[in-house]
Amino acid sequence: MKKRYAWMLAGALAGAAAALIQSFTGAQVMEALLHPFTLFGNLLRGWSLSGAAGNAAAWAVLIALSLLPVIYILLARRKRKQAGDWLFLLTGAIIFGGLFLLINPTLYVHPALTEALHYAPELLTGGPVFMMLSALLLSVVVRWSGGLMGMKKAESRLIFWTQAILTFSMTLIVFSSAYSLTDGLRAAFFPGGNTVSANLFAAESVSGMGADASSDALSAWMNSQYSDNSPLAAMSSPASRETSALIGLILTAITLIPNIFSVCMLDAASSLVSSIGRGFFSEETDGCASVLAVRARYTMIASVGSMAAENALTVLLAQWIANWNMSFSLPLDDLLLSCGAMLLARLLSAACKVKRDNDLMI
Amino acid sequence: MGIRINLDEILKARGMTSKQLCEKVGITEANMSVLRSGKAKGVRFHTLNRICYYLECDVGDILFFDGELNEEDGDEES
Repeated sequence: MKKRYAWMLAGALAGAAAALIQSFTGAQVMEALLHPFTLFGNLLRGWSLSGAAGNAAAWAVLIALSLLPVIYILLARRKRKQAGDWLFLLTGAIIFGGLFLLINPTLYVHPALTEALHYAPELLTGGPVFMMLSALLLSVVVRWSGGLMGMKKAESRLIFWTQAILTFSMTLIVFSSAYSLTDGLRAAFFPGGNTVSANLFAAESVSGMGADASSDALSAWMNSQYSDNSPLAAMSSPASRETSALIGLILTAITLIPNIFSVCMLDAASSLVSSIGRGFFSEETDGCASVLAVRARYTMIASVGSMAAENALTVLLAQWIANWNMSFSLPLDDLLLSCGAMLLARLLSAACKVKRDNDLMI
Repeated sequence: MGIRINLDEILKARGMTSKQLCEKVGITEANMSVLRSGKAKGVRFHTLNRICYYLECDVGDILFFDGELNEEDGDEES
């Protein structure tokens, strides 16, 4: 089995497991993932409140962790200076701020929000953690993206990272889809759970998550963690819980269709990247480009078709959906991605033809 | 066919092998095979110049028109 398929299988199983765990045990998956960071913040807070020595130790850890990017740059400067290096200094400051907020989370949210316990762990821990992670990611991208773009030697690295990002995206889409499908099925056929999905409004909101999964799987998945907390949730329609859940499942299934095509398209893109690694204008690359073009076209059709069906069905079935938090959208990002893939495939095919002709010039 | 290659007969007449010509002209045996079989899409002036020089012949001795129009090698887009 190819590595990326193993990752996708693991993603699907993890998504289904996350949905079931969340539905039947009441555990918040996001909260569980963030738990080590919450513990770390609590540990440092405990130290800082324990006395002068503990406080000094907490500050020492805080400063040491904040200086990590700076230390890296000082070591890296010996080899080669890069334009994006200054960003690592800023990242150090952001890490400092993030860790400080992790220790004192109530500094950045309204005190009233901390009373809503359901929000608290994700918001209080997730806010600083994601702030630090995104700053780190920005530094990494700024530092290495330029090198990947122009250097001859970096070609293999570019291929490696492109494949890594493609595999990550596929895994995330599969995870998100498996999560929403499992949750939708459970809510429709086993409505006795006691958590997010058991909520009267969950199934439909989960279907909305499926719609977004192909473009922004992670944020959509995270949003679904809070989907049952809408203040409008109390204003339930006369619809029965079972009907609402069943409609939610249908909408979920419809919105998951583009995900299947998206994964197939990314799979073709991954094969294409591999073949480029073996030879830019080979026969294999030409074949992979043709497969990519076909899959990109189907992804485009599936994406627009699914969105049209979902929007129409949402309007038609609105009165039976016990969720006021509905949304309508256009899959512009899917369209752009598919168009880009088709254009790349066309360009590669044309280049392969030129190469073939050129090879027959003696 | 359209344009035909008459390389084999010239080589025979000059008593030269295909391998020897490849070495002198500076092309691979695979490319020489493509040229001799008529599958080549084109011949560079540089290659033609060297072939004519080492075989001591004219361009017309190597290439000739058989009176037919060959549509197969045209641009696929047109």
